[in-house]
Amino acid sequence: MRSSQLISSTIRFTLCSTLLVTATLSNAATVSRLTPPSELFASGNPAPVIARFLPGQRFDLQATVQPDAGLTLESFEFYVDERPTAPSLQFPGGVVIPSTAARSKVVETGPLETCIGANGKTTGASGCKLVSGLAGNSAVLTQRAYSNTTAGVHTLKIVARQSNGTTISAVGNFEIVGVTRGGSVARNIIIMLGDGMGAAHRTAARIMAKGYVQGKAKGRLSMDSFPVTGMVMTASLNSIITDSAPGMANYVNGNKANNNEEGVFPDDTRDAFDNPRIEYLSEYLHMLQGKSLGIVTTADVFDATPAANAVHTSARGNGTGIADQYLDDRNLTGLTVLMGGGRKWFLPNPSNSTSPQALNGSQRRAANDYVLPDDLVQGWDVTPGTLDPERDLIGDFQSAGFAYAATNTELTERFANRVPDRLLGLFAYSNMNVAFDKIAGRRGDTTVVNAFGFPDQPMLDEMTDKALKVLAKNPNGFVLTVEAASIDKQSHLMDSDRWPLEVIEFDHAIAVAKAFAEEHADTIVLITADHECSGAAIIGASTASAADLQANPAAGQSVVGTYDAARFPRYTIANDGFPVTTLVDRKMLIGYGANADRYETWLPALFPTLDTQQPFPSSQSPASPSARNQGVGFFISGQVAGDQAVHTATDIPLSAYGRGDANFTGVFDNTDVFFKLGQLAVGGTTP
Amino acid sequence: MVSPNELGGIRRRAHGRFHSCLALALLCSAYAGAAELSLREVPSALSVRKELAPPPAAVVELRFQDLFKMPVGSRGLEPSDALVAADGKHVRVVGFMVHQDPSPHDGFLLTSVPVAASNEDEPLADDLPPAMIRVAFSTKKNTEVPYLPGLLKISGVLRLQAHVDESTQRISVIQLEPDSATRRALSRTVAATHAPRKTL
Repeated sequence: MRSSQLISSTIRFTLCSTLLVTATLSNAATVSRLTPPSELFASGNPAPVIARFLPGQRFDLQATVQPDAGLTLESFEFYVDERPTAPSLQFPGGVVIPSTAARSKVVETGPLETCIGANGKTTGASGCKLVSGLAGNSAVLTQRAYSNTTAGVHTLKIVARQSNGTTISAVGNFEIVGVTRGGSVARNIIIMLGDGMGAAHRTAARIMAKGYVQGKAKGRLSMDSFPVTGMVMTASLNSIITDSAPGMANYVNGNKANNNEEGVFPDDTRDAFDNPRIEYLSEYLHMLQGKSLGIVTTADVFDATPAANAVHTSARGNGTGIADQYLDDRNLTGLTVLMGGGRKWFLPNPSNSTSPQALNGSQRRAANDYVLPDDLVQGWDVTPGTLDPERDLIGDFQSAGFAYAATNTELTERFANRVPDRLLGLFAYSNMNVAFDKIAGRRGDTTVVNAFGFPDQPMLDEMTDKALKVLAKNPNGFVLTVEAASIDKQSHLMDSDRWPLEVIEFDHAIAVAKAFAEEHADTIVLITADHECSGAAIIGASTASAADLQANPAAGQSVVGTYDAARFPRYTIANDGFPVTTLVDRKMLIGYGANADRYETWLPALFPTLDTQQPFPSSQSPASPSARNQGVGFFISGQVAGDQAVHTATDIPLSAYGRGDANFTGVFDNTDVFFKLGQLAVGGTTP
Repeated sequence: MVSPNELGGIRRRAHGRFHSCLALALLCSAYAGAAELSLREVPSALSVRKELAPPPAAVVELRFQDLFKMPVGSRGLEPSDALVAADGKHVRVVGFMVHQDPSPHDGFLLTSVPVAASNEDEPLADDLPPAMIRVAFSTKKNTEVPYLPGLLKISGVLRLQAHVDESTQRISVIQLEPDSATRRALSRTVAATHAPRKTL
C-alpha cells in the first residue's frame, strides 16, 4: 500500500470511526423516563421522595427506553428492592407461570414515513403511537397495577435487554406510607372542594354574608366553625401553578401529576387513556372496605375536578371518554352518586358529529372517547371501552340502577317514596348556572336561567343533602366530593359579584355536610381548594353610593376606600341566605393579583334584563350593564395575557371537622391529605 | 392605569398578549394582531343600537328562544318547528358574540346572552347557553376574528349541519352562513383591526 493510500485509508477509518462514535453517542441507549417519578431517577438525589402510596394501593410501573441505534428491546423486568415484580399465575401442582397479561411494550408501529422523521426521531404525529422526540426504536414498557404493602422507601429498577444481549437499566424510588391500626376509623369521608377558593374568597363571603361591626364579624360562616385549619401547598408535578386536574387528584391519590392529567402519571404515548394509573382513594377504599363514591359539582361533570375523583386520563378535555368511564368503572370506584351539569356528554350522537347531526345537543365524539389497551384491562380488571358516540349514557346509567333527575323538581320527586340506591342528576347542558343567577331565578327574575333553558336547577346544598341521603345507605361508608366549581370560574372572569355568592352557596352546602357529621361521628369533613384563583384580594370598599357608582362606571380609583375609608360594608341578607343585592352603598371592592386586562366598573356584570332577541332601545341595551371587558369602565392593565385571571401558587386554607380532624393542622402538601385520610379510613385516629 | 378614552378604546393584542398604548406621546403603529373593539367601533352594519325595522320579506327573523323547545328536556334539546323550517332559509338573528379567548379563526359563536369562553381552563366545561349559533365566517390568511361587543345582527343562510371546531372539539349544529352584506362588514372589520394603524 502506498503511503498516500495508507493516509487515505487512515483518514477514512478515522472518519468512519468518528461518525460511528457520534452516531452511537447520539443514539446511546437510555432510559428517558421511569415511572413512578422520582428525584433519584431525575437527579440522582434520593430525596425528596416524589411518589408515595398507601399499603396495597395500586399503581403502574413504566419506563421509556431508547435503545442503541439499530437495536430493539427484547425483554424487560421491573425490580423493587432488587426483586422482580412480574405477577405470576399459580396453577395446581405448584406450577408457577409469570403472567404477561398485565404487561406491555409499546413501540412505534404507525406509518414509518409519518411517525419517524428524517433525524430518526419520532414525530408524534396523528396516527402514531409515541410522542415526538424519542429515538425511532424507543419502547414504552409497562407493568400494570403493581402494589406493595411494606412501609418504607423502596428502590425501583428497570432492566431492559436489547436485541444484541446487552442491557439498559435505571433506578428510581418510591415510598409506601404505613398505616397505624387500632384507632377509631372514619367511615365516611366528605371533601368539600371550593375550586379556586383562597383565603380572600372565604373572607369576602364572610363580609358579605355576615358583616362586621367594630372590627368583629357579626357571625361566622359554617366553614369558620370547623375547629382545625391548616395550609396546603398545591404545586403540580410539572409546575408551581396547578390546574384543577392534578389539583384535585393529588388529594385523592396521594401523588403529584402533570397539569391537565387526572389519576395518571405522564407518559410517552399519544393515547390519553393508557397512561400509568394511580389508584384513587375511592377505588382503594371500595376495594378494601366496599365504600361508595359520590361526586357532586356545579360544573359540567366531565370537568377536571369531578373527573379527578374517578377517571384516569391525561387529557381532561376528553369528555366522551370521561363521562363513559364514570359508569364503566363504577365497580372499581363504587360510584353511586353523580350530580352536576354536563348533560351534553350523555346524549346519543349516532352520526359521530358528521351531518346529519342529532339536534339533541350531544357533544359526544369518537375522537375524545376511549378504548383501553389489553394490559390495562387485564391489570386493573376494567371495562375496555368502545368508541361509541351513539351511546345513550343516560339510558345506560338508568339500566345500571341509577335514578335520573333532570331538574330540581325531579330530584325531589326521586326521594318521594324512598331514597334511591343510586342517583344521576344532570341539571344543565354544561356548567350549571351560578348562584347569582339561580337565586335571581328563584326570586322571580328568570332571564338568565330561562335563556339557558334550565330554569329549575338545584342549589349545591340541595344536591349535597340528596347525595348524603343516598350514600348513607351503605353501611360500609362512603367518599363524597362536593365541588363549588364556579368560585374558580367566576374568579377567572374577575366577576366580583358572582364568585362571593358561589362561596356563600358553598358554605350552605358545608352546613349540610357538617350537620351530617354531627349526626354521624365517624365522619371526617374537609373544606379545601385545589388552588387559589385570580390572586383575589379585598382591597377596601367603595366610598360612593350604589347610585353614584352606576352614574359613573369609570370612577375607578377615586371611589376605592382603603384603610379607614373602607369602614364596614353592609349587605342585607334575604331569607334564602344570599344578599338581596350586591350593589350596595359602600360595597366591598376586590382587586386581583393575577389579573388580565379588564375594565372595572365596580358594578355587577348583569345580563340583559330584557329579551335579547328583539332589539330594544339603547338605554336598555345590555351593552351598558354587561360592561366587563367591553370598553366601559376603568381600565386596569393586567400582568397576564388573555382575558381571564389565572390560578396562583398561593397556599390555600384547609379546614377539618369530625373524626380525626386534629390531623389537619400545620402546613402540608396536598398529597399529604390523601395519606391522612387513608390513615383515618383504614387505621383510624392515632393517639 | 388609563381610562378607555385615553386608550382610544382599543387594546391591541399580539400573539394573544395585550399591549396597551399608555402614553400620549407613543405611537403604536406596528402590526399587533387582532384588536378588541369598543362598542362604538362595531360597524353599524353589524351593531344593534336601536330598535330594528323588520327584515325584508324574504328574510326570516329567528330568535334564540325559538330554536329549541324550552326548558331543555330531560333527554336533551328538541329543535322547534321554526328551526327546522328555517333550514336553508335566509334568516336574521340578533345576539351576542361569545367572547372567546383566544379569538376564533374559523367562525364565531352567537348566543342570546353575553358570555365568555376560555380555552385556557376548559373550553367545553363552559357557561354557554345550549341554544347557540355558529356564524360560519372564515377569514383570509387564518386571521383572528376580533371580539365585537354588544348586540349584533347577523343575516345569512341557516344550515342545520354539524361542524366540529378541532381546536376546542366543540360541535355546533346550527350554522349561519353570512350573506354578502354581512360578510363584507365582517371582512372590513377584520381587515381594519389587523391593518397597521396608529392609535393616539
